[in-house]
Amino acid sequence: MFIKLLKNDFIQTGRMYLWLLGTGVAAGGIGALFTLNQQIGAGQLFVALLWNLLLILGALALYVLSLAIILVSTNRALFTERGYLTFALPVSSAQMLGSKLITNIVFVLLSIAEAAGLVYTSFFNMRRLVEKVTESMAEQIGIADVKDSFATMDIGLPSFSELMQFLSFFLVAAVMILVLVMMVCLFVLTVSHVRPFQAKPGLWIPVFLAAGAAACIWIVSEAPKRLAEKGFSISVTLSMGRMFGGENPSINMVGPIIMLVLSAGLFFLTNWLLSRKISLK
Amino acid sequence: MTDIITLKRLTKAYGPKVVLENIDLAIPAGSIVGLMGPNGCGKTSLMKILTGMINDYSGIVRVGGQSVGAYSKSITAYLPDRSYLPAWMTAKQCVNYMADFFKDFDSPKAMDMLEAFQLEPGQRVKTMSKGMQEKLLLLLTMSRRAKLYVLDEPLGGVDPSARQFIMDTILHNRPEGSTILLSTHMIYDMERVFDYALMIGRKQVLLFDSVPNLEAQGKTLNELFQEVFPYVY
Repeated sequence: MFIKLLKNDFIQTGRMYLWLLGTGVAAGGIGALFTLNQQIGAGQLFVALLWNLLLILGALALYVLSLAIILVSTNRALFTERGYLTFALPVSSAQMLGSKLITNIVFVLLSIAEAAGLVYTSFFNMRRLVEKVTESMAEQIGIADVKDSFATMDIGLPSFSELMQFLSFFLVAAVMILVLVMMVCLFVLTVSHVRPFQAKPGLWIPVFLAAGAAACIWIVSEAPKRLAEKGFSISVTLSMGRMFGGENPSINMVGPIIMLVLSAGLFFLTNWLLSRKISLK
Repeated sequence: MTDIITLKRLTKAYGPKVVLENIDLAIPAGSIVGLMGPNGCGKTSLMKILTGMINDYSGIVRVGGQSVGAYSKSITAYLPDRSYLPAWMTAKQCVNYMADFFKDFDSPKAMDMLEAFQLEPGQRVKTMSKGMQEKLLLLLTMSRRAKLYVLDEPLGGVDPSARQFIMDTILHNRPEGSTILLSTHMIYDMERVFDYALMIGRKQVLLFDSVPNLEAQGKTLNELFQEVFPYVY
């Protein structure tokens, strides 16, 4: 039954995500098309550079919008009229919550990957475009300084093994953070629909989100120090090996362990609220 | 005869307002129960508790011998008083969705009913009129071979012809041995159909008895309702 729930959650959330991911791909594609054009005038070049610059802002917007979609789609599925369908399904509240958690994480990961791709493509495109700029064109469209900056930047494609190393590093870090972020979102949405707050969830959701984010940041940053003060010194480091020919990034696992404990606590609390305290209007 | 619904000391309050207080009730399986009471007396709350839409109550609630949860939901078909279907879904997608989750959902029957109700399988919910959406919800509910049907005011706000159509749909598609708990204000139209009458109000069960027993008192359900809930000017 959980697989069916997951399948339907993917379909329903995917519907809202499709246009967002599609827009990102289309915008990136347009940026790349500018770069492929060999004969490019000063005016077109300016537009192409501006477009690629906007792609970087678009990547940030993509991430923010993906979180907004998560909040809207989860809220709609659980706490509006649609909740009458969701809550009538023969599944436990833990299954309901688990399915939402996995679906949301997958789609946010997809949007993060797309945002990262957009940023990379944008820088790559801009460097190619700047290479096409002659001195006179640079003066004409006022990007002489930009041209010099890009000339000194080293933007190239990483090797396959470097890319795999980066992705595994990125996935470990991103999934751990995302599990916590998603659990905070699910907890906040649920608690905002418990009776004292149910009348105005739109007011309480931002308040609880801010409070939840602040509390989590404080706990994740302060807990290791406090534990160390009390003699519980934990030192687990997961090294990811040398990457991109330079740094040797590593994750101190204390933070992620605390995040996982926090996420598990929030999961149990949210599940309890869903099964004991939620009443659909 | 075993009980399909058992309530013990059920209490439900909305803030300071208590709507159901220490209710004890056992509804036998295989019967059609008319749930009656004035507006705001807790009929919908009781139905929402039985179907897992309301979870903040106290007391014991058992459906099919178990607490409200995945099992009770698998044997209960619920028709709420509002449309809950995703607007983007087509009628066929709604049928597939229900078939995906409910083992007792009869897809061929649902498709036959779509045709009988003159609903297009490819039509999206958002383009359907209110009446069409109500028909779709009714057929999705009655296409299940559930042990318990909880129907919240299925006859509310419809004309007499549609009322007859809805009642026929419910009665003809009800599996043998199943229980129907149906809330209504249309007592006069429904009293011939009910096996039991359940009247709630003033936070309590004010009357629960079989219709033949009540008729033996020489009164119609309508008259009993007016006795139990006298109109106060």
